[in-house]
Amino acid sequence: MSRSLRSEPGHPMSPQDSNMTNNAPAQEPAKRLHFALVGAPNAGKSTLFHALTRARTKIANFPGVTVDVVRGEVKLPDQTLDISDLPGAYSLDPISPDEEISARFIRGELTKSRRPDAVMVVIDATTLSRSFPLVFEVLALGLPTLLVLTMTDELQARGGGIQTGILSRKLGIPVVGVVGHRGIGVDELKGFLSKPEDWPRTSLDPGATPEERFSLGDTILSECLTEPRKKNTSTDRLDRILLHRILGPIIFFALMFVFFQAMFSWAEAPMSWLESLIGLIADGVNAVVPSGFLRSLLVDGVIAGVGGVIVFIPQIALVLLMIHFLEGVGYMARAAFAVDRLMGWMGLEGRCFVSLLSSYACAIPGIMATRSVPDPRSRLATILVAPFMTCSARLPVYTLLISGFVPDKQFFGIVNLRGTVFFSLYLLGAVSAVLAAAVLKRGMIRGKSLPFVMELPPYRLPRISVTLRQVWWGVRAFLKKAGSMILMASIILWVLLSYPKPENMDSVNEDNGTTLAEEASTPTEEPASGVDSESLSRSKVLEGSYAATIGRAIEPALAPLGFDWKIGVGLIGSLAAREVVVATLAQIYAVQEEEEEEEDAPNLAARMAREINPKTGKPVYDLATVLSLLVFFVYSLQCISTLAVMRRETNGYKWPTLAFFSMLAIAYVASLITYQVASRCL
Amino acid sequence: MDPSASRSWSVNTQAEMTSVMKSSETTVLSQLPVGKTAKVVSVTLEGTYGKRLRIMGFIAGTYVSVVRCAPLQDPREYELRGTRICLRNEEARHVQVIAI
Repeated sequence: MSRSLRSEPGHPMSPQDSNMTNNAPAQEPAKRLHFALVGAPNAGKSTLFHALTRARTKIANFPGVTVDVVRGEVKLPDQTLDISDLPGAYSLDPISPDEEISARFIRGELTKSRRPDAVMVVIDATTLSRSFPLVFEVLALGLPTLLVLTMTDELQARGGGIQTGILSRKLGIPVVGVVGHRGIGVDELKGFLSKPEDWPRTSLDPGATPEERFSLGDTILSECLTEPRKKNTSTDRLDRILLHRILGPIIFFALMFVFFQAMFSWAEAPMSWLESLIGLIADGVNAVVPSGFLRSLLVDGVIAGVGGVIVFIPQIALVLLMIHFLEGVGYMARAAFAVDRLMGWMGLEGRCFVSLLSSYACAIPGIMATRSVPDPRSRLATILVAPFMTCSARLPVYTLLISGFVPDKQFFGIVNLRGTVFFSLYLLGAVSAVLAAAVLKRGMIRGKSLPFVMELPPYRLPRISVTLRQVWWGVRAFLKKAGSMILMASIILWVLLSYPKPENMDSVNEDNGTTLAEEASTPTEEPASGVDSESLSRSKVLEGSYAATIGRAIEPALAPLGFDWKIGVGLIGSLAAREVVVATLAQIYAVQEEEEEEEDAPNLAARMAREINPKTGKPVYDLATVLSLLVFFVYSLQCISTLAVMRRETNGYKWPTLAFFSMLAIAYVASLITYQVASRCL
Repeated sequence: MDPSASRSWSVNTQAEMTSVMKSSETTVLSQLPVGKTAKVVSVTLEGTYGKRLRIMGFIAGTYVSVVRCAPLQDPREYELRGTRICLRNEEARHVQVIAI
């Protein structure tokens, strides 16, 4: 899913500036104090940010890694403050695009943002001794600076301790210990925020080299830090298993496999609730709105289109939950560590793999996450292949086709055929992404890779509310897309599918279907048995619609893939966003078979299964066509939002254009092969 | 609190350093076996990445131990200054250490 982009298309800007376009509110009063949160990745900045801002986050960042500046408000009794949560950085001497954002933001070099009035350096108390280069780099800037020590509880639990009073005196700046997720120390911290100009300033010479800064820091710490006696044994024990050379990879794949199996079954119940809810809404509209243009637009266009897509929210939420949980718990860094060698053979590095895994939620956060990759060539290759990863926008398509047309068989009692096909599609996307990256990195964007330096944070249970909030952000972005792009596409498609009206059928939308019976009885190719006259006339409208004309025009190109013109219309619609194909098919088959005699209208898959190819007399959606369509969606880049983000992150139209057309070509060829092989062998 | 107890991150005096150098032999970090600890002598990598290694704590006198290697032997995980950092052997070659 994506959030709608607020950046003007065509406006050139570097990825370093882009975040400001998204986040800096233009109407912001200039008098408000503005604080920046800086710190190493995993220092607990985001947790602190949540604790300080509560529900007052104005702008949500992309779910997953914080790679963009997130702005929030802190309400104090007498004033309101702005706080910006910067991407994690070990140093203000940046090596990757995300660190560059932090460095430039804090120096006030980003064109569209105000320089912060004061800085809070957030340091994980358990890694205090390695944090001094950053602390002194910030102090050297000369801004009012406050040191926030997080995870002080963890330090104590491991038998260590820090005397913040002494540390504060030695450094000459305020030091506050907090436990962000329990809110401890947050009030004390807020007490400091109202008057940053009164904060004591350091009189220390911050030094110039890492050596000087470490030595200064070590001297200070020798007077106030009690080192933890115990190691983080639970992390060690977990890593011994999860990073085991044989067990580790097996566990990784087993987890993924079980998850995708479970996703299919767990999401089933909530999805059917949503389906019935949408059915109720449609019934309500049918009862209230008089038959005619408006009702048709609402029921056939909006509710069938948008509703057909919204049904998939439970599955999308589950994928997001998994990605954010793995990210929050610290497993993603392990995955990067474990596969770095493999990625190295492709010319990439471990963090590219994490970006690709994030693309399971959506290619957009995946592409954004590449900002943590220092090497520009590896980063570009990852950006270009991220759309191959099975994003949640493909879920509606996969679920519809698999649950509708793949037999529900069990093997060995636990392995489900549908779940397996599902998992295979995910695997196919991932393998294709990695291979494509290898081809790119060896061909077009060849070059020596930059070094790989990455921290492995201790395993920590993410706070449930933070994880759920991230999931909610993702779902909300999807809902926004459903409310804007998908809604618009649904309405456009409804117009294309409903007009022009056949000349002798102006009254098609009138309530009395009986007057249409004679006209409707003219022979059509559609399956007429058991369908009443009104729906027959509707299908006649569909046959003569603009959409049908367009669809028929491209049908010859699609026939070798096993697609008829209706699927073709769906594919054209899906160029805006993949889910639109479901919305379109929902409209096509809703138009065709509306006013069924059954109480409960059959679901979309069942309607599609009844579709007969007029030429062969066989079902349109046979297994070969379904597989071919699935493969098409594995490869094709049908997502305007992704293309827009790609343009922004690569500073131009060259790479998104290339990605779009090459992926379309790959999709066509792969579908062609799938259909031709499957229709002969199955 | 005993101040000296908490200063175990690094060797602080030149005399200490010299005595360590005499008693052990120099090697590079990538050659250090898993489970062993060493003291950093210098980083021979130039430029931004050399500096980044130093910012991450690979400076003269700092203790580094090898925690484990990845399933395919490379990269390896190191512990220093209370954190875990992974480096490819390619980069770890540029960190001179004294095994202890």
